Amino acid sequence: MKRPGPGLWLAVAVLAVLVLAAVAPHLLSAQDPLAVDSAQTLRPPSAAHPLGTDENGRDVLARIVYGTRTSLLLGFGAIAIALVFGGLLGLAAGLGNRVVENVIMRLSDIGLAFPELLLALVVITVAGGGTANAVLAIGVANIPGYARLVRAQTLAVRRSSYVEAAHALGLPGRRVILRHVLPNAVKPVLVLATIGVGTALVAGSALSFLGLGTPPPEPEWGSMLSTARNFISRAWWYGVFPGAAITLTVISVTVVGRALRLRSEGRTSW
Amino acid sequence: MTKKTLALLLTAATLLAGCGSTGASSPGGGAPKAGGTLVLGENGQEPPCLDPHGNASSDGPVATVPVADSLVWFDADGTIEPWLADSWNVSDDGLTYTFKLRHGVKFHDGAVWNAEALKLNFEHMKDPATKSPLAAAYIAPYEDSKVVDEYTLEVRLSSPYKPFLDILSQGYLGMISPKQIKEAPQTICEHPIGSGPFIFDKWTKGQSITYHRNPDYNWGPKGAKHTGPAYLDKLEIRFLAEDATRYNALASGEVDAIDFTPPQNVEDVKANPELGFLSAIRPGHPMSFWLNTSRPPFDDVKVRQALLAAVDRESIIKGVSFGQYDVAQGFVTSSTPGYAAALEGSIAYDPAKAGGLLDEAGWTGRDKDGIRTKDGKRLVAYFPIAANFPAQRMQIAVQTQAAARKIGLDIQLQTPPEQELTDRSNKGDYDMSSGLWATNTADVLWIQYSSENITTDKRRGQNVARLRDAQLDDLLERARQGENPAKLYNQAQARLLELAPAIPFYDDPRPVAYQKKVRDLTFTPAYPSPYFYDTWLEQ
Amino acid sequence: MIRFIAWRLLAGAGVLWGAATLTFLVLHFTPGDPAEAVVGGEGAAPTPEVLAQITAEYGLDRPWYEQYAGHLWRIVRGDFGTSYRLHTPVTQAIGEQAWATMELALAAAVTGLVLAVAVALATAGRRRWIRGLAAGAELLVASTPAFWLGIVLLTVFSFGLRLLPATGSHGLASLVLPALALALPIAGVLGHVLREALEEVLDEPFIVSARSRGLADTTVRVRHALRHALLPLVTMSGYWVGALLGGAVITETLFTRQGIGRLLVAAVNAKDLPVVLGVVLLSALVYVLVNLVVDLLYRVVDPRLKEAA
Repeated sequence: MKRPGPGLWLAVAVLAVLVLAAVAPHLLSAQDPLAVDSAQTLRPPSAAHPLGTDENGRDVLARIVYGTRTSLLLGFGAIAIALVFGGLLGLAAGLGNRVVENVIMRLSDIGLAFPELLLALVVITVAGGGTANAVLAIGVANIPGYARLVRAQTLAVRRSSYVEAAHALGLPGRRVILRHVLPNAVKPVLVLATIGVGTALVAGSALSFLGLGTPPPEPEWGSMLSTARNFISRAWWYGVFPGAAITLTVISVTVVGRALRLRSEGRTSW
Repeated sequence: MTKKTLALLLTAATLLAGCGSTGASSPGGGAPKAGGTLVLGENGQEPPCLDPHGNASSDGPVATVPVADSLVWFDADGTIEPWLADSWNVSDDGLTYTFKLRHGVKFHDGAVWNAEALKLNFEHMKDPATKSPLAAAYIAPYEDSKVVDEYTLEVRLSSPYKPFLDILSQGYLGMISPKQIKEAPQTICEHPIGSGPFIFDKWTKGQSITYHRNPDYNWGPKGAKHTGPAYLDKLEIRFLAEDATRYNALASGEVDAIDFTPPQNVEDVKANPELGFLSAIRPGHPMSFWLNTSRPPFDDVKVRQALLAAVDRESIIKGVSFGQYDVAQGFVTSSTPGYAAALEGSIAYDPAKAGGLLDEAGWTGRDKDGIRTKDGKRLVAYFPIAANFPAQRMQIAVQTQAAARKIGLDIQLQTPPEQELTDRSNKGDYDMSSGLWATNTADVLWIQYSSENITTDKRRGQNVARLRDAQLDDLLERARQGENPAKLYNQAQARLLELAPAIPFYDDPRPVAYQKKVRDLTFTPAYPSPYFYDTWLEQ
Repeated sequence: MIRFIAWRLLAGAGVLWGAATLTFLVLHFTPGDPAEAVVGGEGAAPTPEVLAQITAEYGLDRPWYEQYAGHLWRIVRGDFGTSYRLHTPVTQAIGEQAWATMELALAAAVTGLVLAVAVALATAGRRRWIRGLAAGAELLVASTPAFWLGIVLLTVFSFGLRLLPATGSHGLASLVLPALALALPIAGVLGHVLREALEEVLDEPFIVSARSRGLADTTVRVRHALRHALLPLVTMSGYWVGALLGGAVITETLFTRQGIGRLLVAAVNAKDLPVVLGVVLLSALVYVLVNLVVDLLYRVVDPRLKEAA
């Protein structure tokens, strides 16, 4: 039995700051993330610009703060899509008859046979670039994985003793599903999804690297990082800080997700 | 380097060497030595096909000119010199060109250069099966040709076409072995066979192209510094798409020279005693944002003029190029023959005037965001861009967007799917579009602004501003037919300054950096790109 | 066993067919004319004759079901067609790039697995600060986008210290940085999973009894515990094979290496259907085979599954 360490509290604190930045960015930075200043391009950190300026003379701190919302959306939005659609498909496969199950599982096989990035690339070729489409792309790419996970959980729960007991007691099927199968199948998946958010965030930044993410001038960490690489020899701050923002966020999400997992498996005391 | 000093250097080099190529001359003297391999780091614009006639990539000529010679050589001052053609004669009506060809030229596969070979090349360019994205359009007026004797070809055009010889000097129209065209045209993309100073070895796609010296070569252009075979044993062009990687590959000695030196590194190159630097402005149309003149809001010339006045091009270009680029002064670059130097300074930054022009145009209202309105409509311009929009152009777009916002014009950058972008650009469904066009004649103005070149269902044209101006059409058409081009192109440039169909940003340079041991690396002035015939390595 | 393999191969063929169909439909029914994609773009001025030629030659004017049947029939006969964009046979276009990707993926897989196993073996069940250090490092690399890791590696080792070349697909030296950039995030994830599994196994009674027989700690870890702890690695093979193939695109782009990933991105953008079909089929085939091998491995590692299937 482990007790939550200081790492977990730190991670929670980071997430709290991120939520604040996403909800009320003006509280964390007084500067306008879109204010272009052709005379102040690629300036190192100073009192006026604590994290320096970018290639258009914009304040890097302000862009990181204001970019939080989009960047988090990439992670959470994509996993939400994957969870909802993957969850529904997985439940249908786990509870449905053989035909339904086979159709869904073979489709998910086809989906999984596409490398995630290729699937995302295809979605973006069809739908175009932009934040919403990047979220959609990563979400869609994750659907087959979650569908399988939920199906496996559903089958496990369905065969477990308490569901069989409920059936034996004569409870109606729909109620058993809603009350017992669904929550028990979804809970562990939710916990895993927390960790998935971090992976999706990283995948989102990879799309930005390939030029398929958020269009300018809106700030987003991945696209900042992608542009910064052109100026790495002249302006280290421009790449290092958005890079740190991504890493720190993913670490925090992962730490919290792992703690939730330990808890759901009954391995912690809180 | 400002463009004036560059122009001076170009002239000086021409006078001194009696040739049209600027280059890394050998200040310490020393006779050129044969031997060695030169590795050039290129940017990521790797052509999908190495048939000179089968690609339109900006890296096409640098890769194909070593293999394929051209019919004529274009000097930096705009004169046409003999190369594979000894001489030519143009009929008075401008419709018939008679070429007398050089004797004794052999292709790498042993085929002989003669009138038949030239005829086959023209037909190959025009043949739809070649799938030529550029060469076919450049020789569109070509009708047919007649072999007069072994070394004389008579070419007939359907309409007079003054720029014909200029175009023929570009790498995109290099000469391929007639044997290969006849017997194995499907292999040209993969393995082009020409008569050039270097023989094609291998193309490792996504990585490099290698060549070795043609020992029999003895038909270099008149402008070259030497005769006989090239000095280099081997040549390798390595595609290094990432700017930082390309520069560092040069700085660490992994490569001997790099093309398209990233502007942020030019100062470092100049400060480094081990490195040399060489640059030429590409003739043609400057890098510009075209304004769609066929629909609101840019159908109103006042709105276009307002945007031009609102953008501080000087400071934007200075910033994005780290002080390396020249701001465009008009609608052709300063190195284009026919450039109207007298019109320099006509486009001025004047935000107050911009506001006044928009008021005059009736955009007097303001919405809550400060964007101007007229009859309840917001002043919005849509600017669709591709996912692989170059970073530097993006910077210009973002700073232009910020400047436009200050006068109450909302530029919206959009990233539609690649294919939707093509559809929209064919249909004219955009307000702004970006690009440049590099070619060695002021006929680029006809390509970009003649109303004939507005894309329709039947025809793809480059007039992306969709400009339709009778006066300009007349000037450009007459210049094309050969009537006093110098004067007519001057008038056309003045007319364009009034029409303001684009925001011209900068004259695109071709900046090359190299290790000092690399000597006599030059440019082909027709389509400035590194030229290795005279190049040698100091050991 | 033979029946199992035969059945799985049949299902695999179904997956390939599905993937090919999906690819065709998506590329066919998205807006845009492939002819434009082949010869269009900035700096190009295709004439109407050229566009008409391409449309006719590739049969782009035929109804979709005819085109679909044509592509499928071609592939069934083993003819992968000619790339629209490169004018070369697809097998050649892929063949030229496949080795570079395979080299990178193999190097990264080996590096990633060796790193993960070594770190987990060395740190599992050790003192708190050792475990914390390893876990922290794993978390750090697993949470950093691969391309940013690559940029940092390039800046430090290539641009800064000039220890390793930044470019190219030739020689072992040019493989080090890209393989590391691709391997580290994977090693981070696998290392974490492996250590947890190891720690669980190390508490098992048979380990305690092995120790009581006086076996050295290293022997216990390597000979007894590792075998059981490797199961999750096999389970996660889908994840890391996918991460390798997906990450390869990024790594190839950043390090200007040859590879399937860059070929695919260019082909998708140019609507080069024969090439996209070829690459999709290849990667689906890899997926099917890897899964088959994994399931067979499972049966070796965990004999209980034999009856279940």
